Amino acid sequence: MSKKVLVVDDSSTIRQQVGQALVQAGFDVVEACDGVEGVKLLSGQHDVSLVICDVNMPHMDGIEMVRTVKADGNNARLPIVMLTTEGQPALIRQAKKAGAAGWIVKPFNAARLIAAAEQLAA
Amino acid sequence: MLAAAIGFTGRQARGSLALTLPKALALETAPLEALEELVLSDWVGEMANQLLGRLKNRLIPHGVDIRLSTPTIVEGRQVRILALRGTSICEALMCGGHPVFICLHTVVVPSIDLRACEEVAQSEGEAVLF
Repeated sequence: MSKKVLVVDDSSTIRQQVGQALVQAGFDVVEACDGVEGVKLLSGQHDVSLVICDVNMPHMDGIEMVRTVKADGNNARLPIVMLTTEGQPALIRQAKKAGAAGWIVKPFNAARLIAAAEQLAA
Repeated sequence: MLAAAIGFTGRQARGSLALTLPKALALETAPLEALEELVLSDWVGEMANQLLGRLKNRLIPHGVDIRLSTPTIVEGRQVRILALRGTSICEALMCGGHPVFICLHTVVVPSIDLRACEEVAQSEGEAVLF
């Protein structure tokens, strides 16, 4: 059975681009356009193996989403990788402290993204 | 023509970046078929966002931190960037036979110090797992 990945980004083209790469690699993909929608989706779906999440988003940003997901007992162990244009070390440290599993700076390399997804969703 | 403009602010620098390109080029470069105007404007905004994000990350080793705003996308037959107080750098490039214009406008504080510091931004495309 395919592993399911939740892609959270306010850019529809990034969601499609990431989703297409993941589907081609054999993953199932679900999408959310911000942290609030992502958290809501995770509360209803317990078969998600990995979250790939933008940082700067309206309503709830990516780091706040990591904190919220990690505070939920059901998803505390769910790996979350940040995919963002931000490369600032202080922000990366914040995400790590919040419980994120990794950080990728856009524009992303599909092969590296898939390798990270395969490692974390295993 | 389509133009995406993004403003940025920071303690040491503020300004904006405008990326202008023909709609045909935006359609050609969109990762997937951009049939809807919303998808196309999202793509042009994302390109401008990633371009300014690259600048932001290159300023980090110099101790300059900027915050980016949300892109604004406009469409018109002729788009001209008007002069502003501060420093503007405009570059015209060709991409697949189409013209692309990139204008960066900046206002910096007189005391700005671009000496290298210890902070280094993570490289583009690199996947770092904690």
